[in-house]
Amino acid sequence: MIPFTTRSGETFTETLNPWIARARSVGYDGFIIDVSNMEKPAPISRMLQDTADAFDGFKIFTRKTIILQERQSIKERLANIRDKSGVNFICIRSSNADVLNFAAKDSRIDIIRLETPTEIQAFSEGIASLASQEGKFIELPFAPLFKTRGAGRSKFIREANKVLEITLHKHVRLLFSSDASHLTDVKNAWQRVIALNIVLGASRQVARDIFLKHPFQLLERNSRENVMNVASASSEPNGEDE
Amino acid sequence: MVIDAKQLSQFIWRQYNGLFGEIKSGKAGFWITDYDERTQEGTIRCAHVVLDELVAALTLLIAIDDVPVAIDTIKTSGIMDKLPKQD
Repeated sequence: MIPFTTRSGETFTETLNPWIARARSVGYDGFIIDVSNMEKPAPISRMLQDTADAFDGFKIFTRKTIILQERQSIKERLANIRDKSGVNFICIRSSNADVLNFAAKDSRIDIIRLETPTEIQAFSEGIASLASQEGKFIELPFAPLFKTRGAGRSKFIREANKVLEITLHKHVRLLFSSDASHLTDVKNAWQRVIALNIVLGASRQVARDIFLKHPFQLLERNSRENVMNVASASSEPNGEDE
Repeated sequence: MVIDAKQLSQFIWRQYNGLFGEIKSGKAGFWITDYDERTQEGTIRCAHVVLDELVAALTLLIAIDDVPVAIDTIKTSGIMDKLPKQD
C-alpha cells in the first residue's frame, strides 16, 4: 500500500509512472494506493480506469483508511461509504476495542489496520476471531521495521509478535503494508519474506502467506463482492418497466 | 550518490550490527567481493548460515548518509563461480 499524493504540475500518470517502474523492477504486477488524504477519492478511481491502458497491464487499486475513535460515529461515517468514496478497499483504524469489534463484523470493511501501540493494545483474540469468521484482513505497517531504530524497533517487534501470534491462533489473515513514501521503500516480496522470518520469527511459510497469498485473497474477495453487487443490482425489479 | 565498496561495506556492517548485535556480526564474516560503482551492482560473500540474516539487514537498510537507498537482492548462490551463470 502506498499513500498517494500528486505533486503540483505533475499529471496523474507522471506521478504514478516512477512507482510502477520501481514496482515492476522488483517483481510486482500491481499495487494499492491509499487515497485517504484526498478530498474526493472517487475521481481517482475513475482516472485509474480511464488511464489503465497507459500502465500496460499493471494493476492499480485504491483504498481509503478511516480513523474512528467512537462507537457512535461508525454508522454515520460508514453510510454509503463504498459509493461515496469509489475505492476498492475500505480500511479502518481505531484504538477503541468496541469500534474494532464492530469493524470485524461489518461487511463494508475489508481491512482492520493496527498502526499505533494503542491500536495494537485494543486488538484482542475476540476481535481476531470475529474477523476470521467474516473473512477480514488485519494489517500491520512494515515501515517501522526499517524506519525506527533501537528501542522503538524492539517495541514494534514485540507488538507485531503479539498480533502475529493472535492471528495465527485465530486463523485470521494478516497483511503487512509497505507504507512506501519513497520509491526505495518498495522492496521485493522475497526479501520481505526473509526479513519477516528473521526479525519477527514468523515461519517461512507464514511469511510467504502474508506477502504472497493474502494480498491475492484480498483482491479475490474484492472481485467476488463486485460480482455479487452487480448480480444483486441486476436482480432488482425495474420500476419503469412495470 | 556515488559510494565505493569500502563505504558500502561499512554501512552494511553497521546495519547488521544494529540489528543482530556485535556477537552475531563478529561471526557473520561477510565482505564485498566485487562492486561496480557505475551500475551499482556487486557481490557479497558471506557464511551460508548468515545468508538470511544478511538479506534481512540489506532489506531494512533504507538510507546512507540520509540519502534514501534500496538494496535489492538479485541472486543468491552457494558457489561463487555459478553466480554469473544463473538466469
